[in-house]
Amino acid sequence: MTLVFREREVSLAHILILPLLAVGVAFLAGSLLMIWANVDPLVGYASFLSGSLGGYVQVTDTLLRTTPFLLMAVGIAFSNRSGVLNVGAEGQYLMGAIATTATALYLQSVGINPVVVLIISVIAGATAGALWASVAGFMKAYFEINEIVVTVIMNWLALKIMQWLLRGPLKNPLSQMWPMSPPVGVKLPIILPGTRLHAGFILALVIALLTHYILFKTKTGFMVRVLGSNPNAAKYSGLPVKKLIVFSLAYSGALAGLAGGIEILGVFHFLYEGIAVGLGYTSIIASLLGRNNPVGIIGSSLIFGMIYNGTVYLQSATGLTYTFSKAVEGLIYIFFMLFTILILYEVKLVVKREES
Amino acid sequence: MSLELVQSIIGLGLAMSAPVAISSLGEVFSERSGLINLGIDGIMLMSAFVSFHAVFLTGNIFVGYLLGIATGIMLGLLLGFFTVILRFNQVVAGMGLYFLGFGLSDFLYRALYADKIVFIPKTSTLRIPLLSEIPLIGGALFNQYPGVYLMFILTGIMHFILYYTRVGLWVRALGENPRACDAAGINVTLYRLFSLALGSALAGLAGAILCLEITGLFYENLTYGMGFIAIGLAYFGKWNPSRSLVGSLIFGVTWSVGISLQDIFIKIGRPEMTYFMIMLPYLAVLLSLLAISRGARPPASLGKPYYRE
Amino acid sequence: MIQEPILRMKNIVKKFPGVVAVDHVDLTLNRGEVLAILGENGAGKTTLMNVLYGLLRPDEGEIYIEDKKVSHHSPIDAIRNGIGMVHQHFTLVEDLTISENIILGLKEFGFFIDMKKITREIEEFAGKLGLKINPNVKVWQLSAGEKQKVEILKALFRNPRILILDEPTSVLTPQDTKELFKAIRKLKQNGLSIIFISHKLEEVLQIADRIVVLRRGKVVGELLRNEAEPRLLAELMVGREVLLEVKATPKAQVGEVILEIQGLEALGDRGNLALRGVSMKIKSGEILGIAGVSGNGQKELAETIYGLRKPTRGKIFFLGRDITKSSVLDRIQLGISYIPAERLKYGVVGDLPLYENAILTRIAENQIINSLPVVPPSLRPMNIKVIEKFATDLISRYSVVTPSHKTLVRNLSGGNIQRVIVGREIDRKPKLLIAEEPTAGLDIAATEFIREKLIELKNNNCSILLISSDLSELLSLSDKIAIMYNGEIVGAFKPGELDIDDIGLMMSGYKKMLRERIDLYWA
Repeated sequence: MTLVFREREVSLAHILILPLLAVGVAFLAGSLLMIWANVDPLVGYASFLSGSLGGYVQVTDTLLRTTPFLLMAVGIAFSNRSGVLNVGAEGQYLMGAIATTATALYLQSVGINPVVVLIISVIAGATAGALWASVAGFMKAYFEINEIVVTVIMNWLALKIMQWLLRGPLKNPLSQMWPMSPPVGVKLPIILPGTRLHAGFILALVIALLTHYILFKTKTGFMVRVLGSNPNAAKYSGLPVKKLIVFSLAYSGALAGLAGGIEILGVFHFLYEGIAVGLGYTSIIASLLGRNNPVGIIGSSLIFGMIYNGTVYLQSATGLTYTFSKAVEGLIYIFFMLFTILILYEVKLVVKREES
Repeated sequence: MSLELVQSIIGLGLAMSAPVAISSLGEVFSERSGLINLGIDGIMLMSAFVSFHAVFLTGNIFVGYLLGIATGIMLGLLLGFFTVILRFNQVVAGMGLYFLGFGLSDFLYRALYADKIVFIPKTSTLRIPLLSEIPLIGGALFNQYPGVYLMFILTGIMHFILYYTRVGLWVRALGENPRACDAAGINVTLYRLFSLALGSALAGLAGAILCLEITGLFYENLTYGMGFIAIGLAYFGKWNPSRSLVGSLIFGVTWSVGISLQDIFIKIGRPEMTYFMIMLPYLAVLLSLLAISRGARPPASLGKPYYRE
Repeated sequence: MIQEPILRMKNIVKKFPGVVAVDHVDLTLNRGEVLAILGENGAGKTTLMNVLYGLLRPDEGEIYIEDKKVSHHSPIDAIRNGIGMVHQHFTLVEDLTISENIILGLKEFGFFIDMKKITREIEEFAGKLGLKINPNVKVWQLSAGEKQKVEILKALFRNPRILILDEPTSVLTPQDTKELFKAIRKLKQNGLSIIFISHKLEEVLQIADRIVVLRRGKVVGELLRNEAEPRLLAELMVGREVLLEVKATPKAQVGEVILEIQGLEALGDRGNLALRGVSMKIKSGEILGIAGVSGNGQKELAETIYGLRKPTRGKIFFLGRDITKSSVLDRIQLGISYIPAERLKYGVVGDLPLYENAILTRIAENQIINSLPVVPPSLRPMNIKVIEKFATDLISRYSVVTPSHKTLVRNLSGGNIQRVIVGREIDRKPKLLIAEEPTAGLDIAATEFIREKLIELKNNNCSILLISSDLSELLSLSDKIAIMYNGEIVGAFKPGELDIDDIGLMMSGYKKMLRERIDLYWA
């Protein structure tokens, strides 16, 4: 008895339904979890929806939460397209945050024009993320070391570096409580007065569209896609495979580092351990849901923005903590895989008959 | 640097190595059959939680260990369903298991214990009569948690199974050339599922050990990526159980050095150096990967689903 | 001697999408005989044996072993019924020792493996067959010939009544082959019945008691050894109609030497020496055909010239330049094109649309990128107009059947994928085109069209290295033809100089031209 797969012809409808279905069923399963935790799912989801989309402030907060996901997921999608899996977005994000903080603090202290500080710090963040990711890129391209193992280890390295810096060179001498850096004075401008939505969101959107352009309209993106789809054909066409691998990881890292920098300059305004909440890992799910397409990821990262924002309201209404969102994330992932198989493939059970 | 400090570093180092070593052992076994299991961190988290809760409810340590192993097996078979039977991409499925384990374990803890930190009685150490009297190292080596003893015993057992039994031979052959095995009449699906289940059972045991022996409590992301380190150590050990044990010991001991020197750092007014030291084990694993990568060749069919053409 | 059938395959049919691989074949094997199945690649020999061994289910037909009807759902059934098979591609686990490979899948050894005992048993077993081996050596360290011996040992260890050898000498040296034949004769004496699959005439004539010839899935001849005559066999294998289809082509205005290969040696995928010192020259405006049964080094020759495979010895010169170490990209830019036989693996990216595949090997050309100041070339937008024009031109000129130029290539049929690749490589106007099976799988109209295109290229001073298993195609298109057998050029001629039987004899290794005579063709 074996299972036989045949790829089905998929229409656009199929592709759009898939992520929505996965999310929908995951939320349904989530309500089962809520019931088990003695929470009324209707109350729960009502507060979730009103919290994420219920008003002007709520919507902009959702967009705020969407920004880092958007950047990181687009970056991850880019490297996915080349066949390289960047599980290290979390670490690259942290390194970007560190670099941005350090750069901003230093440049501030020597009295440079705030706008210039802003620009240079942002670039520093992206560069740090790119360099951090390139290490894994080199190790894969030239030593054939699995990039997943390397990037995950580097995630933990980044976390430890941050923890060390926060208690050492970057420590705010005035803080008594948890370790944090001195406040970063420069801020990203708010684009909608009365809200917290800053320019970083626009930057993220621009970069998402730019990435889409690069991937689908330029020679570089073309080479990346060929490499990811058929490495043999890439060799046959004379493509510079090793350089492409390093480049795609560096690009991915740059976007993750940028996300870290933007969170510092737009949301937190100082560096502390609390910025590491696993956004980099969640972005992997967002890139999967968005089917490795920047435009699709705009949509899927919005869903996660909603989840991260809405569950705060869910929490205060029901007593469940934000980690409910983590559980739902995992469920979305599982259901996405399941539905991918069911929708995209026709699965037949072939039973061999014994000949009499 | 007192003798006692050295002893406590070794003792703590061994205890810390146990969960990493055992889950790495499991990963070595699964990868030998050609399956990469990226979800072992998630398995460790779930089994840590399950064993924690079990001990909290029943007070019985054995139940805790057993349920931890059972959790591992169940999650391993779940992954096996996706990767071996449905032939889904192993990397994607493994990450899914990780997210699931991560989120679900934390959610369940919060649902049951809210924000409270709850302590459970840790497993007591087992003292081996004569050997623990040996001066210098006796205490550190032979008055240890069961996990440490299990670490060595299980490594020996897995090494034996892999290299000296028929089952181990089939598993090794599977990882290199599943087509040859199919042609020789070996049931590829069955053996792959078996190796995944066994590997996950070990990961489950590791999670239980982490919670019941080392921390005595549970909180979000208890493992802090230990599962991924275990995967890295499988590479480091070139898929040989005994070699990956060495890597795990290095990891555990360098970790313990960092923690143990904490007091000294505080005394000399540089408390943040502890974090610097804690970086060392991770850095060590990374550098060693680079060092041995030249000769390392993973099982040829690692990560590739098998179809009979 | 009374012929006693031990195996009967009746009316076996096996179809794959688009082709009938085995077409109503009856096969009988007598006890204690060596039956040879002779035929070119694609004749259906391996498919037939895979049906017997349980790796494939037949669409029609029955199998009887010692008059008992059997049905094989997997190799285990076949093994249980006493059939052993040594496959064409190695089914050894390289990382394990010889002993470990031999006992793979056997349950008789219990849970714990007593390696010492097993090693002794295997050494004894091998010794009885006249083979001396060290069972503790890891397989990856062995030569191709030694690996072959291990495969045979492995099959024999299971005590079969029937042994199938599928192209066993494809990677063996003459010395190894002699030893193999000695072993086969001994096994025959011990009562084993053997099926020997090959495309090599002289070997079949040496070892077989009876010969069955397959062509295009059908049995076209069945003879006893003493009835078999080399010319007759060659003709059966290759087909007489070939001569009737040949059309003459205008002879080339030949110019300077474009490509020169000296003593090229290269390893194949299995570690064997696939190219054994090939030398040749191709001049501009010339079509050099490579004839031979596929698997004799043609693929490796193409890959080595194009740069996908590194030669272990020898040199390649292109327009006087030593390109032996040049990258694929360099060779593309110098003007070398390649139509690979493995189209889906190398030639296209299935997940990408047709118009992107149309420029796959042309991305180094400037015209596909819009000119835009300031922005570096790799980030400028690709010139969609130019690219789409390439694509639509290609589609119309090569009659590619496709809903649109945006269709994903994996949704095209095999023949249309071939047209895309051929069109792309020919339209590049290369200086040297390596065409490997360019018309395989295409209908007559397409085949005619591509052949015309090749002639057009030739008239524009392009050189073509044409590798084909279609002899009539080679004869009608080539200015010169070299015959490859076992990684060497064993013959060269101009169309019309040799008759079909001689060609067939050289293709199957029965005959060989002298080195000096071959070299005359490169003068």
